Amino acid sequence: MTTILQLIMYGLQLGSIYALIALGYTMVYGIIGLINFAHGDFLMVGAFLVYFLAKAMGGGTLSYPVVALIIIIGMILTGLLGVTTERIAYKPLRKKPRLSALITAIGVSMFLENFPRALPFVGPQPRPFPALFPMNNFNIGGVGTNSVQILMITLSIILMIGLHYITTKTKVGSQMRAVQFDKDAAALMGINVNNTISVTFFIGAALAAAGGVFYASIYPMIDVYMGIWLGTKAFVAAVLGGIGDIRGAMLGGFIMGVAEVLATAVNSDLGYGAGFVILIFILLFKPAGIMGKFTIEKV
Amino acid sequence: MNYLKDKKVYIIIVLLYIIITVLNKLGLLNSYLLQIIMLAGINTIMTVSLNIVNGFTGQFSIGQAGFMAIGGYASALFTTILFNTSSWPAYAQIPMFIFSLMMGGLAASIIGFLIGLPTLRLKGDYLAIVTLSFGEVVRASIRLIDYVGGPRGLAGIPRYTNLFWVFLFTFLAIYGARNFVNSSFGRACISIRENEVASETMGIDTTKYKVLSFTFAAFMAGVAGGLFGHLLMFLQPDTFSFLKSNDYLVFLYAGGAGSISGSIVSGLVLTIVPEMLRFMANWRIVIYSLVLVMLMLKRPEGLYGGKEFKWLKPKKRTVIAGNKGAEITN
Amino acid sequence: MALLDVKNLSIQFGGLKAVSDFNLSLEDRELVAIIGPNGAGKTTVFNMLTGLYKPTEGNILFEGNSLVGLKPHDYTARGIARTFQNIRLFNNATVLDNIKIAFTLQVKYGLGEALFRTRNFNTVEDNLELKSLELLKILNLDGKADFLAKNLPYGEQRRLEIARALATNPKILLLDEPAAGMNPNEIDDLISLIKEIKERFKLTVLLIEHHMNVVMNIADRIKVLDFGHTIAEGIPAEIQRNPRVIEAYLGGGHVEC
Repeated sequence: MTTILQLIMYGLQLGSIYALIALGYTMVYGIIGLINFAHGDFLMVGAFLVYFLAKAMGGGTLSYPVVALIIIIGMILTGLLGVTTERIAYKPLRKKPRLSALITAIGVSMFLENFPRALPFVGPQPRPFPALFPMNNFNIGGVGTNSVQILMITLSIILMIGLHYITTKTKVGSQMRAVQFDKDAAALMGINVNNTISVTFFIGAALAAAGGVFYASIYPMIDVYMGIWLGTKAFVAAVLGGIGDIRGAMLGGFIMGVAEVLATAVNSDLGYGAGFVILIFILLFKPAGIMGKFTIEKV
Repeated sequence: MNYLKDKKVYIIIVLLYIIITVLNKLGLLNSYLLQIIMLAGINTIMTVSLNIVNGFTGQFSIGQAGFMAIGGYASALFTTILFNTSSWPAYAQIPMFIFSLMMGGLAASIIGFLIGLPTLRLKGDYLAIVTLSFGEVVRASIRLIDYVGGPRGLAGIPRYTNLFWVFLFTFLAIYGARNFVNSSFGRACISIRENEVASETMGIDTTKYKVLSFTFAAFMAGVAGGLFGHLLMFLQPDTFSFLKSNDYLVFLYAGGAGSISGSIVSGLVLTIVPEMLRFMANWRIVIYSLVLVMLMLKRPEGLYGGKEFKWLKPKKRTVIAGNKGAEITN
Repeated sequence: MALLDVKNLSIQFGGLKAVSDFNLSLEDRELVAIIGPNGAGKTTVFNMLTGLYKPTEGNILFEGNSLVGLKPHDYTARGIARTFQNIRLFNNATVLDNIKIAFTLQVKYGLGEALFRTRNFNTVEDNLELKSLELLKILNLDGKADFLAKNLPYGEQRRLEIARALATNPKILLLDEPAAGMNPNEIDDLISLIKEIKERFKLTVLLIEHHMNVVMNIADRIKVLDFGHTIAEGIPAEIQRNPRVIEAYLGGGHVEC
């Protein structure tokens, strides 16, 4: 029983990170209908930015305000990268066949992985990620955990609540929902569609950066390809929950995290496939994901 | 003379084969380059197969490498695991190789049929996600099967694939795709792409044709997988990750979805040119990705979108002579 | 026995009953029009009669057999074809291919024959092209065979929709607002076209139309729908004088002729 609780704890930890990344996929999909293949790479960029910022601050143990500051800077810069990517590579294709944007997304993804790889000061080799948070182990009812784990889950949940607040309670949030519903009508209502899409990309990429940093804090190795698999799994989580739906992304993230950890405990190769198998089955019974609404096509 | 004109394409293909063989024999084309050319052929088959589903039927399948993996492993099963064909007399080896390729295609198409039947009712992006997941499940499953080498891969596959077989099967794939597209089967698929509701209302069993195109494409990808395994003499499950499927997506849409010509050109060019750029080391893929983004921004419909080489166009069967109506000029 | 017998057809979307108790009996070679204000449920009736929507209640008997629950392509195979109010052509296919696609049901060759282009395949394809061109000629579209459907002018797109429906070899043709967006000259041509194809292909026609001169000119009978209910039924002269129809249509006033 304790083992299972222990595993679920790990699952929640991984799931909270998947959820953070899944949010970006789901927000972008919701607003422009694009599966942003480059989204996974944003988390890698975020992790690397924070890595270099921490180094620039002298490495070693950093004080809390400094840690908070470099993470926020990393999130903002990654957010801006998201905005730039959208402006250059996706926006010109908005009225074109949707698949062309998907191909540019693959192109952007290849670029974001291979450009740093080609840079001499980054390169292909994995790097140890500095410990930004203090690590204290303790025990709750026989289940071992540590401060980093609890902090990561808490921060992820705070960010998700923040996002939920932004989308449901603020003006920019209602603009996002309007653009998602009908771009043309939103434009007629005086909403700046381009800016709203930029804001969406900014938030999505910034959350991914946070997810990247949290992931690297728990599994402290980073490399330029880390976004591929993490991104893919987060993407599956987004679809599982019902892509386009923010609550669905969170739910999907936690389901994926727990399922993966439990399956890995049985067999390490099973862990990877498990998420996909769950996804296929859920889509067969709920073709639009758990929270997604299946719309009847009007004839 | 007219006859020669009609068969021009076939003559060109044969000449091309002879030229490459002679260059190779003269030592002007080393075995590394020959290998690249063969990979280009295999990639062309893969791109054409994906084109059938995505380009012509308008479905959005992005796990084509999964079928390639199934085909590769299934055909290696016959030449490497069940039988050790390398120890067979020479005259028996080649028929077994061809048989194993067909079994690879068959295995892929059976799985394609079983996957397609329940999933092709999913629309657009959801189908994409299921096919992506399918590809990854195939990869993860092969890793679990010790019988075929598990995560370490399957070594010792005899090298049966040579330039001749690559030429033959690439040609057959293109020829088959052309004839499929320009038949009532292909037209039914195109109608699904263009407007599924109207297609159904015109009496077309859309589910049947979607599954058919999916199965047909899986067969091609399976054969390509068999050629691939018997070229590299080694199969490893991680080769067939979604990154490989993404390569074929890029090939397809850069060449132009719905254009067989585009698939041929991009299958060849996008395999061979990056190899030529090896001297750029790490910058190679950086440049490749930038060129790809720029190409899609400049020509979102792909290089050959909406275009087709003459040989691949539907045959004009009738001429309208004034007002006398049509007459057959078969 | 009536060719098509529709009994108490009803459909509900969520809580909304879009069509209630729709009854219709079509005799062979009849031309019946359904009229009614926008949102009355006319196209919904068509969608049920072609299998695109499954009715919540009621039955559709075609030549004595129930069709409810079949797929749309089965409806077409049995002889019910339609056009769409919002044109649904195969835009990136040629005009000729649009027709050939609609002939798919009648094409008899296997996949193997197609892949290897056997003699039978070539014969069938030759005949198919011939038949398709003939059909285009009847609809006065033969000069446009190689155009992409999306590049046709609006009026010709509507004619191509009709040609495509005819290629499925229907017994009943459902026309959904064929005159929408046409000018008076085009409407006159359309009226004679409908009369001509009805004779030539021995068709029974069910027509949705807003243009009263089309309806009054060619319909044997008229049914009037409003908010999903049938509010009147009869020959054109009766409908023109029916006060309920006038009210539903114009909220008082007169029906234009």
